[in-house]
Amino acid sequence: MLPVQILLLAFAFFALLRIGMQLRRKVCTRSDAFVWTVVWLGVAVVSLLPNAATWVANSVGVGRGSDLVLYIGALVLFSAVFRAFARLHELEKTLTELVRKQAIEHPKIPDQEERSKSKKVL
Amino acid sequence: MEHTVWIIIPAYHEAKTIGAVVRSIRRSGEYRIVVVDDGSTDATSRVALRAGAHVLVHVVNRGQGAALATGTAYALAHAAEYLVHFDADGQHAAETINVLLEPLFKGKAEVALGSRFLDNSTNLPPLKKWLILKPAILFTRLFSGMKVTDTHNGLRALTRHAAGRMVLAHDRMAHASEILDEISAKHISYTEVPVTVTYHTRGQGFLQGCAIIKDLFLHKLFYP
Repeated sequence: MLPVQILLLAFAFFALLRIGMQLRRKVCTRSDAFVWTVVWLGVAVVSLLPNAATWVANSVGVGRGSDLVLYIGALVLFSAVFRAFARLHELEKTLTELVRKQAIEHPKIPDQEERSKSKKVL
Repeated sequence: MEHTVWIIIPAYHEAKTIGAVVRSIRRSGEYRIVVVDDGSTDATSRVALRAGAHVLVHVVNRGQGAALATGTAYALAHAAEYLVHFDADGQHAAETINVLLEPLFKGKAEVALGSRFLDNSTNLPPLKKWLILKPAILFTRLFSGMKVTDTHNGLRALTRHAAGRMVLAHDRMAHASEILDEISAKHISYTEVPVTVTYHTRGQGFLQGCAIIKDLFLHKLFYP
């Protein structure tokens, strides 16, 4: 067995353990846990049987298994970055709305201020 | 004055100038003034209040576009018939407010945009003029098809109707271009009025100019 295979297997093993733990503590949803379990099981299978990945790659017209994994990885990352951007933008918008609401609900009005000051003097 | 005019002044760390700006506007006419303190840590809101403006405080900084939108919402809720956007740093002369409002009072347009290029009374730093403002004008012409002579001037006047229809989603500096986009998309009638801007310190620097363009591109990319 090659060192890289051991490394990947160990990584997948611990990742699966983490998913189990998160699921038990109800930090992640069942569907999230399912998706990630499939991903890490896939990693485990590919690292144990590199030829399996090559076979899948060939069947979709890609020469090497590792290339297919890279292509898919890049796609997933791109979409994740895009989603993170959109999410961030949404959060910023929500924050602005919140700040605006708070500002408008508590205006400082000059006359009132003077009146409250003169009251204090009295 | 028979019309209710609200002057909206976004301010971020402008304690040194905001008092004089508010007082000069009050001297120039019967206007209601709202200063939106955009999360300043200095005395901006205290000084503005003492000078006689209504003050709204953003607890954290959200950008000039966000501050303008906050002021607009407040003015619209307080019977504004006309709204004027004004800068807090003392670049604008209070006397120009009347000049901006005139075409609106006469019903000639719904929005009056201040322009530094209609006459040559403003002395612009040449680098800023040719590297930032002129390209921004071209950019606007390409994207919104509007033939304006000045795209990033903070001085403008709007009718209640026009202000209510505009949606300002850009929190940061690109809101000036966004206002033009909204005018174009919603077929709001507009006119340009020559204004003089005095540069005490520079307005938006070159990097900020780049940031505006970056903001705009990102916005067009992700939220078509």
